[in-house]
Amino acid sequence: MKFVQFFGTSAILFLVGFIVIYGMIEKKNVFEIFMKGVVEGEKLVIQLFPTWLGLFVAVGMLKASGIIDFLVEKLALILKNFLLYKEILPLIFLRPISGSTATAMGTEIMKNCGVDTNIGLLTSCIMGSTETTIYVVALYGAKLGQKNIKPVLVIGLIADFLCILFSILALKIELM
Amino acid sequence: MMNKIWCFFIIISIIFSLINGNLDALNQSLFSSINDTTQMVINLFGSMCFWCGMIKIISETSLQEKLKKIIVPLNKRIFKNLEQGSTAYEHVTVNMVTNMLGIGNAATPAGLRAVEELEKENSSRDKLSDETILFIAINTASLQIIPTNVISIRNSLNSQNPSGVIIAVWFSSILTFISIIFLTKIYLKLRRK
Repeated sequence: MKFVQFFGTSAILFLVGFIVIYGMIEKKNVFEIFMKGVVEGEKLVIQLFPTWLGLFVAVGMLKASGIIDFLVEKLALILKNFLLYKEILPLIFLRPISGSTATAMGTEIMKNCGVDTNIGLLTSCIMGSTETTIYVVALYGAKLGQKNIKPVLVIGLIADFLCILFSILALKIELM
Repeated sequence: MMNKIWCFFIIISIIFSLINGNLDALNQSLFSSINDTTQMVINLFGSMCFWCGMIKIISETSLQEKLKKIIVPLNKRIFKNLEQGSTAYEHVTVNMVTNMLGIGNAATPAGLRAVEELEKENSSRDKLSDETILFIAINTASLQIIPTNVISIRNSLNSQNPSGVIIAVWFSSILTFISIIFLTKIYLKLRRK
């Protein structure tokens, strides 16, 4: 799996090189456009800061109070199969509800368990390959009024669960 | 919903901490969390901005159009009954491309307009059309080409290889995407019976 790891490391570099060269070929002011994007990024971070601050503090408090460990231990007893990766349980439950909370939780897990350990890698993969299912469905549900949207929610949540299994599989076959 | 969850987090922490008798630790965590967040955001700042800059280049060159073209054959397969060139079709494509680029702010408005258009042709009062269900289900999957968030966070935590998870993320997202289409098609078949 050396090749996969090499590609994983350099994929981003190739992508960056490709984008820049593509822009040059089209005779665009690549650097100017890039800077415009950076300004948008700045706005995005500043926009997200209140959520992050609020949630990190709340999640930090939850952790310090000991209730998460308490609940996870109880849950881990029930879900013995997940025992190996029980640290990711809080992430799994928060991921479909709120993107920023899940980001906070995921960052917390990676900080505690190490970012390049199995748990850290698994956390990254799950964060990258799932969406905030409940939020998305609620958003479209609100738009569509009285029509029955529940089936989509069920499909989305099943898919989230499958995604966790796929991520564990990716870890097992050493894709990361 | 988040309003309730946030207050619940804080209140339950204090109550549980009182029962557990570790109020000191809770007090400490309040201040350390504030500092940690500020530190994290500073570390994240550069990375996030950089990727936003890269994505901007994609969206201002014809690469964005190219991405749309790649999606057309895919869309033909997924949305069999959708008329090509219709307004709904256009919105669906824009939504998918912006999702792939990770521009959620642009994807959501396009998505909302897409379901509006898709539902216009639906005569049923309480049931969503097949296409709408499929479209929303697809939106619960992540399609990002560059998982900027994750890479930025890994970078801010001093990972040895911040972008090393990208193949695994692609692998897992694509399989999940396929499962969603599969599950939805099964559901729609069952519904018709």
